[in-house]
Amino acid sequence: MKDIEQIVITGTRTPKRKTNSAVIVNLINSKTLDQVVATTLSEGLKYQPGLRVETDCQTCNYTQLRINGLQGGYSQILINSRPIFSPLMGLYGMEQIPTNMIDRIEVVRGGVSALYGSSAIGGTVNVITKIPDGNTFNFTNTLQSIKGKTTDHLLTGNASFVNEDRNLGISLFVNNRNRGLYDANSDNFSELPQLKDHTFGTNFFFKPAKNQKLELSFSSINEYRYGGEMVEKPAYLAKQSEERTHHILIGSADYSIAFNDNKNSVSFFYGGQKTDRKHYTGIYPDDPAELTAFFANPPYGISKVITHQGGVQINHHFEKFLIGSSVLTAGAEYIHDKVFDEISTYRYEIDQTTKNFGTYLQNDWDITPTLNFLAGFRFDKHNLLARAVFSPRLSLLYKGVENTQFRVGWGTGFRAPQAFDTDLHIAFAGGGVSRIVLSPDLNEERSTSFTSSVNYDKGTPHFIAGFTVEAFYTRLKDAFFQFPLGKDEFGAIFEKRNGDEATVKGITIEARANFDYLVQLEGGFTFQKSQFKTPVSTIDGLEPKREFLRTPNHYGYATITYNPTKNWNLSLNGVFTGTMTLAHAAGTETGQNVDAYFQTKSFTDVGFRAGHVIGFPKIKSGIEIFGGIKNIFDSYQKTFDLGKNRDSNFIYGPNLPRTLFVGIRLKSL
Amino acid sequence: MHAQKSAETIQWLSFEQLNDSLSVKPKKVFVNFYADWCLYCKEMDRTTFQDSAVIKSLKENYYAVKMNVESKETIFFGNQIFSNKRIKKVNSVHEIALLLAGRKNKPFSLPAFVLFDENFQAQSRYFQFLDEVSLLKVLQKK
Repeated sequence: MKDIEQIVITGTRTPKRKTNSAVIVNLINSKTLDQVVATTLSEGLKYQPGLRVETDCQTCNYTQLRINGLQGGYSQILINSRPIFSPLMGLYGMEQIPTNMIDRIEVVRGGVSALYGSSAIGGTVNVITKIPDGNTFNFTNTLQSIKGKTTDHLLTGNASFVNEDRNLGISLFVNNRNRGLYDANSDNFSELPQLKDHTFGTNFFFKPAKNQKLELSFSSINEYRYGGEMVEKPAYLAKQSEERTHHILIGSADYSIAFNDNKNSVSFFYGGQKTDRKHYTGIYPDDPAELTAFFANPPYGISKVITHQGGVQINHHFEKFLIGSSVLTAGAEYIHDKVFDEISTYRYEIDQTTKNFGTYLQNDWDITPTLNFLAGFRFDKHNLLARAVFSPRLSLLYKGVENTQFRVGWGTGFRAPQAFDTDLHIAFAGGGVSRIVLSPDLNEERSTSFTSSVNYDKGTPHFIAGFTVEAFYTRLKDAFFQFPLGKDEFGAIFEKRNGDEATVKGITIEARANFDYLVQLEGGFTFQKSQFKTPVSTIDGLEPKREFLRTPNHYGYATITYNPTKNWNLSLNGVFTGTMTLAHAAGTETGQNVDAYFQTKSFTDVGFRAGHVIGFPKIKSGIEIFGGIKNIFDSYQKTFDLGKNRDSNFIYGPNLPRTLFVGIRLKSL
Repeated sequence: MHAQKSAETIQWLSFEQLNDSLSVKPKKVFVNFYADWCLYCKEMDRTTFQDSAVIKSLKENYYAVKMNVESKETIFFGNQIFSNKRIKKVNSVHEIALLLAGRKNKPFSLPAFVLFDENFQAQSRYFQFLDEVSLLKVLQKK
């Protein structure tokens, strides 16, 4: 018998970035979401290069996702690949989707793929809900204490079952959240709203044959949200408040079949969403003479939103395509979205039905083993536009240098002249409510984007490390902005108009490393500039500005994980938000007497988590005890407006002050 | 092409059983490394390794060895002692797996298969999912 010769020693199972795709796809999995103690989608998305989640309302805390600095409406959030995150869900949806509903999140920055829809100008975020992946369960009880004043209690449960043949599986999730009001500046008006969430859902798959797959998903979200004066009274008796009761149902169905030796496949898909919402947005009148009228018709309202999307997609694999091989994808999809939102008291009503029929064609061509050319286009016929819009997209990948990929991409897109998330939010300022109306002359906004990037990853037996540098440039033509139209008896009115051109450009740097699974590092940082070509006015009487408001030029994140043993997990994470400019509206006794621009300071929000697992191998289960601190240095907005006349848009920086958390999890091992 | 399910199964050996077998009768060896986290390995157990032609080829010409790379056991093999030096760490890989299926300048990855000749000289290694057709080609290679 011969002795074995030493070959080498190695170790990794890092899910490496897809090196063969012409478009970079970033992934966040549920493990990462756990380590950064994200309770909802909005807390998880901060830990992605080029992404920033901002809180936009001091009263209701609606959130926006900014990709490469572009506002929420420029990004497409998909649930199980379906665009059913309606314009209204754009307000609270990211805080309503609990992390235990999420299997992973796929992020594509920039608008360079034809498959994702033309309005994905800033990028696309695809939230994949828990997929049945084995016979597992977990149940978690987490308690958070916000500055020792407010508690946030979360109960979550997940279960997954897959049969022995692995052709049938089902997963279930439940989430219950109860958070109280938090007042940062002791004026008895909340900075964090009360939240009561009950969420549950299921995912199901069935493979009738090796070449066929049926997937179904269903989720139900119920949320009660209240922010404003902290009194035990109905919302309309509070001096200022917002109250929302959401009932949301989401569902999707996908069927795919492959044939001809897997050279062809066809998939049929449907996604739908239904939101029923009751809401109150109001200020109690100071003048007793106004009370009778106020009580006769307090500003309660309702919202009803229904979205349906359905379509078909065909893939064909050409083993020979000129030189090389290619995969041709063709598809057609129809989206119907109906938004009704009203508060009759304010004579505010949005009754918008949008219908978009889109067809797309994309050819993913491996010209040589080191050169890939992805070319595609979409035709979209939107009911608010007279003519169909053609959006071509091209990208090129070269991987001829070892461990390295070079990519360039170009694409166009458009946003229809319709109401998106922020347009459906009523803000408070100066003792009134401000609303957004669409200009009768509103036209579509067009975009052209370029990106180029270098990606490098090197693995050795003991570590794997890499970096990505990406430059992006987007030019918006007829960019939307909100023009201060004036005031009516209820408050300010802004009109959504087309402005001049705007450009967003910058560089995002990402780095990652993994040393023997002991230490894992990841980080991203963005340097950027976002400007209108001609200055835009946002508050009457203030000089118009070229720069985008609420948009820092520098921001980034980092996470470090340390696993000294199998049973211990320590992680440290941070989010940096650079300085930015906000408009601050004046109000009586709010602490702000004049309308003015405000330059924020920068924020560094650092969190820490430690977890320990006690395993019971005999019953294949374990108990994990974890705890830590979010925002250790309490890097949080220091001066908020006071009282009922506050400018609720004047909120910026991290979403939570210093918060302690502890939890216990029972799980299968 | 679909796998032909077979009533017979592969008689997987451990490294210690292999040691004994080789000392009695030399034969070619097929080593299959896996881990609980390796989904492709599980998929191959369900498909490739159920194929009757694959089973037949392994039975007739090879000692088939299967090893969980996260094994905590100390193994005596070829007059040497091998152990898992990182038992308490995340993603611990046994010394024997590192030795046979580790690669220079590349992280350890699964699936991993190593084929040896009758003199126990490593002939070839594969680091990807193999369906029954590809695995048969590998097994029948002279």
